[in-house]
Amino acid sequence: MKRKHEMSSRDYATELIESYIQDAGLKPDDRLPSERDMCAMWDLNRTTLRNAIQRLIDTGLLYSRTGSGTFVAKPKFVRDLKDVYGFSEAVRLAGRVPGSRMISAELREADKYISRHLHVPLGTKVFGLRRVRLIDGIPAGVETAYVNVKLCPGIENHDYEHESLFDVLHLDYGIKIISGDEKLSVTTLDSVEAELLGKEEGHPAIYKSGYTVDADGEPVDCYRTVALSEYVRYATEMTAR
Amino acid sequence: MAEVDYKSPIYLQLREVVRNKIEEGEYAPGTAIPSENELSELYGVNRLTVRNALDALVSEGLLVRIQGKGAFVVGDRIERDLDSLSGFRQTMNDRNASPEAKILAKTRRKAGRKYARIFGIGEDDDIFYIRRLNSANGEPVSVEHTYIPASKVPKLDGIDLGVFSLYEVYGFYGLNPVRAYETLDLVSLEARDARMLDVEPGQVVMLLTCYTYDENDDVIEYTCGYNRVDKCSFTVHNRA
Repeated sequence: MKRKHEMSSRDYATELIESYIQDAGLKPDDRLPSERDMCAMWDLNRTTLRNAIQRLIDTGLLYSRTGSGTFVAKPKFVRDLKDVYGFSEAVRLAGRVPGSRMISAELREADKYISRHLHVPLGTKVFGLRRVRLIDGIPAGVETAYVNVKLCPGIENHDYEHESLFDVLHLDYGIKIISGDEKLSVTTLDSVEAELLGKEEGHPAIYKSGYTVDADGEPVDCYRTVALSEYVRYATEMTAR
Repeated sequence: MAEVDYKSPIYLQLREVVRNKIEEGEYAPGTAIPSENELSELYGVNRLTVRNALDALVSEGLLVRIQGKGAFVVGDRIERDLDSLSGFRQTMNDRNASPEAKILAKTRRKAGRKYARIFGIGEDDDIFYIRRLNSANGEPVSVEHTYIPASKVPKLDGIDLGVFSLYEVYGFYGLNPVRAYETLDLVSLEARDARMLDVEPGQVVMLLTCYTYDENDDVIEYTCGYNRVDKCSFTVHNRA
């Protein structure tokens, strides 16, 4: 490949590393050559190489361990926003192990946010469920969901550390979610989230909020998820009809 | 339409010359035709005659005139609704923002290993690289880096993307984007990219990566967009 000045040297270095990983057939947890060797191999300066490595760490292709080098990362869990599965099922289908750590599960009164999204009057009893979601045992996000109890009385009588909310709604109450809207933006972890996820306070994360609707057009639940981009990648597909 | 011959008014003859060149592909869709001055000189007619000749082609929709840039060939427009379908849809935080896009770079380069793999082409095959800055109310919102195999849109060199959108250009060249796969990650910006977006180096942005496929399931476009997190968010509408 000819080096082109229109292209940033970082992008050039990034392409080289990505191709090297494929060509050398490196697998997750395999180590990359030393920075010195890579610089020599491709005639790059240290800063450029480090920028490229940082970019690939950000996008989840690499991880570094202080003192021992840079390694190929296990692929991020890709959460397809268009699929029809709950979190646990989606993680399982990706060949990973889903898990949950309970923070709270309780009936509570609807505040303004909940009222607006579930279309229930302020003060209505709703089921609030807050969990740390795990992928292969690693905390990947904090999810808070509020369920419209009117549609599923008794929903609180389950063990959501081991059961999927999605499955309970579907199997025990026959509720089928047929549509929803989601919004994704960026947030920084507050002290509680940081502690739950084992990161520094202020660490950036994806903030995903949304609601789901059943076949009768009734809002089923609304939720707010704070997810670590290091482990989760959101994806969607559009097709021309 | 009456047959045009050498006795026909000159402006009608010139109109048919230009029309033929468009139909034959000498003037390619998306590109500018020679200026009125150049045509006037080439055919030894005055500028008013040239203008008359082109007026009809403009009103027929074969050409579009852009102030200060000239007349551009419009290809067949194919209705496509991929744009309007759900996927990540960018929402400006400021609802009254008036968006504008600026092409910062458009170059031809060798695919290299990475893009050869993405597009299923040879490493020495050409691809186009386009860098675009999207702003709202004069403030940068996102930078998009787009890669397209040159074989899919060979004339892209001469196409002014300030005049036609890439989607229009795909239509002109019979490309039919039927599917797009998008992913969202958070990344931090190094100095150069940060400068372009007018944020501090190290600032986190949303990286939207998009693979666009045609009906043969070939990747026809690969785009990485870096979006300022204080300026926009993304929404997805799902329907089972």
